[in-house]
Amino acid sequence: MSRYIIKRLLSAIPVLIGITMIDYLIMSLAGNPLEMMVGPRISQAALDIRAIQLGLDQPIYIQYFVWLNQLLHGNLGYSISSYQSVSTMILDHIAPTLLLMVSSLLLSYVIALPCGIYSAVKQYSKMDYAIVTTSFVASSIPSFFLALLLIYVFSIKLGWLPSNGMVTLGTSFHLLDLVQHMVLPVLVLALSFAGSNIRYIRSAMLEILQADYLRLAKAKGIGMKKVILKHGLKNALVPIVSLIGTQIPLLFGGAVIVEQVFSWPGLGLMTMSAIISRDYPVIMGVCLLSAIVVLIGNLVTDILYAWINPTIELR
Amino acid sequence: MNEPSMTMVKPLLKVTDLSVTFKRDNGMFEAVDCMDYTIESGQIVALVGESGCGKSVSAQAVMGLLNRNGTISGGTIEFDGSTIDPSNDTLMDQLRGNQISMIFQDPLSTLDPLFTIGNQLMETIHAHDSVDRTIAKKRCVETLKDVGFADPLSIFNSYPHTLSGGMRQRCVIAMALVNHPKLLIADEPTTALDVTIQAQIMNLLKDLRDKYGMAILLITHDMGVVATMADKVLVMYAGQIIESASVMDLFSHPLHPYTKALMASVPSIDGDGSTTLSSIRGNVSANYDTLIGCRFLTRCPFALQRCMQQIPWKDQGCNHRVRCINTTEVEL
Repeated sequence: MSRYIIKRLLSAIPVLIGITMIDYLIMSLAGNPLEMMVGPRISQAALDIRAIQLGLDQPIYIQYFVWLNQLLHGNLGYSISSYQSVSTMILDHIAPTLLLMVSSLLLSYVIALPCGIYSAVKQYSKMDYAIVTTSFVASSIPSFFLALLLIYVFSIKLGWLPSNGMVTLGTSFHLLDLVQHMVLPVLVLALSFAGSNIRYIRSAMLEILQADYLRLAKAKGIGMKKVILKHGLKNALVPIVSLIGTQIPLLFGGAVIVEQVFSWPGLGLMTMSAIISRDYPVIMGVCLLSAIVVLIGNLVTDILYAWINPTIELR
Repeated sequence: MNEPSMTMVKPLLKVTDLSVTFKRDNGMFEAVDCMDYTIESGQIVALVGESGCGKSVSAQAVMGLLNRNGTISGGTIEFDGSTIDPSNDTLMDQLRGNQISMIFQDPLSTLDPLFTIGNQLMETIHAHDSVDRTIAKKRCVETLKDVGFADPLSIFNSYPHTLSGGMRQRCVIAMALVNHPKLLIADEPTTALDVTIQAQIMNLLKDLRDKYGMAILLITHDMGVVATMADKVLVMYAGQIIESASVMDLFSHPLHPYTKALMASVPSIDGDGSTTLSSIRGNVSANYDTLIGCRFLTRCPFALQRCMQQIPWKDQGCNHRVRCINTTEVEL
């Protein structure tokens, strides 16, 4: 097992380098930091000096190799606009984002598993139609719209929950306060994922309910509850686990938008301002990070997959 | 252990007028029509017929394992002296795997791939018996030994995908027998296996019947298997039983033209090779539940005008019954 993990991590390195190359190319096509400085009070000479300072006078591939060289020395560079070190910026902002992502992922499955299973077991019942329709609505509402709707109802009209930030300003850290701030953003992210997960779990379960091994389990008289929750659910988990792997990058992207709406002090907010100011080192840092998250997500998925399914052997 | 004596011994399983109806897109379909049979303790009863004639469905109905779109639309089932309602899952779960067990066609897909054989055996015991883990495990290992495994402990710990088809079917049989049921329903247990394994499994079932003393309802379309295994035979065609007799009577005096045709379509090893293997022309009609008279009419070489009407049962004595009006004229 540990050999497999090491092998996977080593093979991830060329993939990561490839991703950063593409990222760097796309980023430089989108515009450069100097454009942000242009204005009536800035002379062309000053811009040229700044370009030389930042190394922007060099061709793109040289710029990239300079960045890569820095990275291999463990340095992600410094923000062009705030002069902070990129690694510090990421470390400061990653915890809130991971908190948001993990809680949303968990909540989406806490909602989707029972709904999906119930829906499949009681196929074509009224409750099944209700669940399928609701899940369709939940997955098709854009998250920023749902976010605004929830803020309107729960923060403005009812005043139950705060609508921005992670803690109430001016107070010391308090778990309940954090949870209250988390409810709305987590709900927005979780609902849209739960929507598609319900439909996925329902169809996986429907297929398994027809399987011969479920008929045998039933013929053994172990009771419907055990037939569905032991044999049915564990078999349904096999495709669901691979679903989680594909959802991690989506969740990372979704978090960026939701963080904007709820002023959540995570990577999303930081990334947005970096993109607007064409802050190359910060953008590249975040791109590298998201690539690492995706690769680790896939690795974890594969390990879980083998853990659930004994017919898969990791080598 | 041929036909039971006529003393008033209650049969183990008594199925009376069993009908099974399926809901289809274009209406209802009666797959099994007024099926009647009994099984005595320790008896092996073979249920024979072509694919799609309702054999498996009738057995699934008795076990309460019909698909969602199927229901028992008539008849009663008595097991061990009391009437049972297969649609009642709570009550059936006390019988299933305990008093009545079932084994299925394809051992490759009937075992849950994610759990070890041991786990799947143990849950069968624990569902019916609150015994200690070590005692339960001992019973599992004993049963695995009974179904012919030389090294039952390693089988106990293996996952299904590491075993061959024949081994998996032995495991399924072990799961069915681990609680010593009174009745085993075997739904074409060798269809998916290769020929050499088929004979092994059939011999095993017969040996286990002798050892455990359970009755077997053996669903098959192999007349050779019927001849070597069964005490009593039910011949089924298009949802109805059309002939029922002891195995001796059936093979020496088959009465229904369909039964005769079935026997003629078995290749004989004694033949000189000059006789061509006969086949029954035509197919089972798709909507056989709408036919009024004899359902074999269109394929029968001896059909008469009268065959278009309801066909009554004809009792030939010695528990040999046939649903045909023209048995005397038939000579194949």
